[in-house]
Amino acid sequence: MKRWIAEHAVLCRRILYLITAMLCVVCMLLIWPVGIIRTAVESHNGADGRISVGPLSSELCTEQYFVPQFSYLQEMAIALSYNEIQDENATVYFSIRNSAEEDIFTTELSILEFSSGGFYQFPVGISLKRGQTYSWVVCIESNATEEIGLLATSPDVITPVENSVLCYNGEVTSSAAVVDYVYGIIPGKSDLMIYYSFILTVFLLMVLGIRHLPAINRQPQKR
Amino acid sequence: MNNKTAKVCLTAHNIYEKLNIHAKAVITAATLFMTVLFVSLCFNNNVHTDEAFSMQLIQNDYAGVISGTMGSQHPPLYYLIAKTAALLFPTETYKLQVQKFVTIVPVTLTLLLGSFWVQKKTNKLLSSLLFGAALSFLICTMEYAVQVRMYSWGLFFVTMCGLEAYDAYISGKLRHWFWFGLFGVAAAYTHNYAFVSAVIICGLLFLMIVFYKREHIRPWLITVILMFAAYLPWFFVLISQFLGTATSDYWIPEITGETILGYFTWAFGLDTAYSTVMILLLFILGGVVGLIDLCRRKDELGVFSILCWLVPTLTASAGVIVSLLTSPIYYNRYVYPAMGLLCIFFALSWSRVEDWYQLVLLLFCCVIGVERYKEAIDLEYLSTNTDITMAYLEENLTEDDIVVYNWSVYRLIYEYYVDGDQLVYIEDVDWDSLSGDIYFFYTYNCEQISQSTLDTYGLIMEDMGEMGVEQNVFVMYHVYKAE
Repeated sequence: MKRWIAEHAVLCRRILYLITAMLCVVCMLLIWPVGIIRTAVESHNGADGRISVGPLSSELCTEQYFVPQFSYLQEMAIALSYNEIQDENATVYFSIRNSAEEDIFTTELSILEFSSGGFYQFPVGISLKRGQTYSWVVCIESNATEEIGLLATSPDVITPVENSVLCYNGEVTSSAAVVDYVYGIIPGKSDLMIYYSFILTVFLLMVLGIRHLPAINRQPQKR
Repeated sequence: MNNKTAKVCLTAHNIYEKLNIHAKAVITAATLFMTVLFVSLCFNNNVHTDEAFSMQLIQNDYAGVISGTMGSQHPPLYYLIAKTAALLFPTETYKLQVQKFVTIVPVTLTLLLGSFWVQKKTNKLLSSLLFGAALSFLICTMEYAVQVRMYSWGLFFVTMCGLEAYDAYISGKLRHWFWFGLFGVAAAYTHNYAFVSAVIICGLLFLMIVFYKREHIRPWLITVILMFAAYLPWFFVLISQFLGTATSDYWIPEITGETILGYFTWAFGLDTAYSTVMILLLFILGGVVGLIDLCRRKDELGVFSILCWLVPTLTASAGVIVSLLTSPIYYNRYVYPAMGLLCIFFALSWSRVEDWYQLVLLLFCCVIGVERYKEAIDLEYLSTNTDITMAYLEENLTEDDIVVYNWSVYRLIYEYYVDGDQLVYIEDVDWDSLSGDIYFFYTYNCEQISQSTLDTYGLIMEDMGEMGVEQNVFVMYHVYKAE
């Protein structure tokens, strides 16, 4: 094998160069346009004027309509209000619906993850159409009698620009949900420049390594 | 190699040869260019807490400066230099700019002397430029070069101390021992962790001498004794300062895994995601390349580059370990004086690879440099409302008026901009004897002037909009008596 490599050193080197170059191109494409690296941009409420919309159950749900400002929703955070957790097995059902009322994202969250009045952030990771209306729905399945509500702002308080109407049990309220929309933004030009130049630097280092690799630079031994 | 390729290589070689002949000119030009970048960050009126402390301290005479530093946590050399600069260039309008220039000078000297040193040792112009680019762009020098504090002077002294240690070890000449000792003492008198770095350099030099050059033991011992004698007057102050910080409730936060990771973000990070990882990776890869080459060549310069990496690493480790054993006394920026040696490590390690790859690295450093400079411009010029606030106060604030603030820790900074007699903390306002208007700096989430106070004293509070000083954003209220 070693002898074969030594005899075909040029070919081996070229194959390694090709693999490295392909890796380099794949990495570049993954960064743009695929967008595996994204910068988080948040849109959320302040701390003032909070009210509770509820009680929530599997039948009584809240639905917040919203218009995303960017095309990739990376994470979201919502806040619940309750006095104490009576049922530790209670589950929060969270879903995002498109304009055709189809669920495009669903998740189940344990009530234990929440602290009353505080944000609980969870991953979403879906692509949305910027400017179109979507909604997110929160329902709760619990055996306890306690009242759990979704935290919202009173009508006179500023809410994230995304929020439009908040419905409770199908009826429009005058509030808007307390929420944190975390978008993932594809790097801008200067960031891309840094990523691409880094990838090229590493790629050229690999080329340098290949050029100095003893196995493919050794002369075949003469018999 | 065919004729065409050979011709291209020859041309490239000629260009490089010419560059090499004029290496000093190229290095000087590059240093000047970087200095111009640093200078361009000076023309603002922003001071943060520590800078305000520096500006206040140098208003004392020399004795006052020394006693002031004894009371704080720093040695006096930087403040004495700053005081001297203030006396040499007496200007009220540009006093901050004078001090910012004072902090740029050592960075320029480090760039110039460090680059010359690398050029001389490696005989590679690109390696010396790589040192300059690493120091200016890969680490957070843009911020510290213009910060009215001692870090840039610490950087100069520790870097030169390390380089002179190598020269003393190699040549054993008296002048190198002299400069090594002098820079070591100067470092110790500039910052306490620069003192730690100087001690580490002495220790590493001792180990090298014991293992490889025992004939240098005597000059080393004499130099170290003289260094200690020169530092002795401050050593007792250092002990008392250490006991003070180790026992009292000092401001430095607890050291956790997250804090330690934060050291890297502080040193290398940009706003670009993963920038810390990318830059750190280049340092690590440089180390690997350097180590591989060291195993092959076993030369003294290779060993020195590894020792250069050890100085900041051991300085930070010492700070972390002592903090864990006593109470937190180490903060990320304390390692900055030793970062020059980290850049020497970077340049020496990568000097082992072909020139064309060093050029690639240099280009990458420049790309990072563009982003770092943009961020520095944002930090120095755009992240603040200071100019608007000052213009507003200049137009409206009269002698009878007072400025009320509600964030007590910012008094030191406000004092830099507003006369201390006119500055009153919200809880200390004497509402009964108000003669003029109040300009109220309302920092969010701090105490507000209550409606009952306004009603009781017949005052009207008018919102003048969001203003701020340095990185403190507040709402400016104009409070005046109703007619």
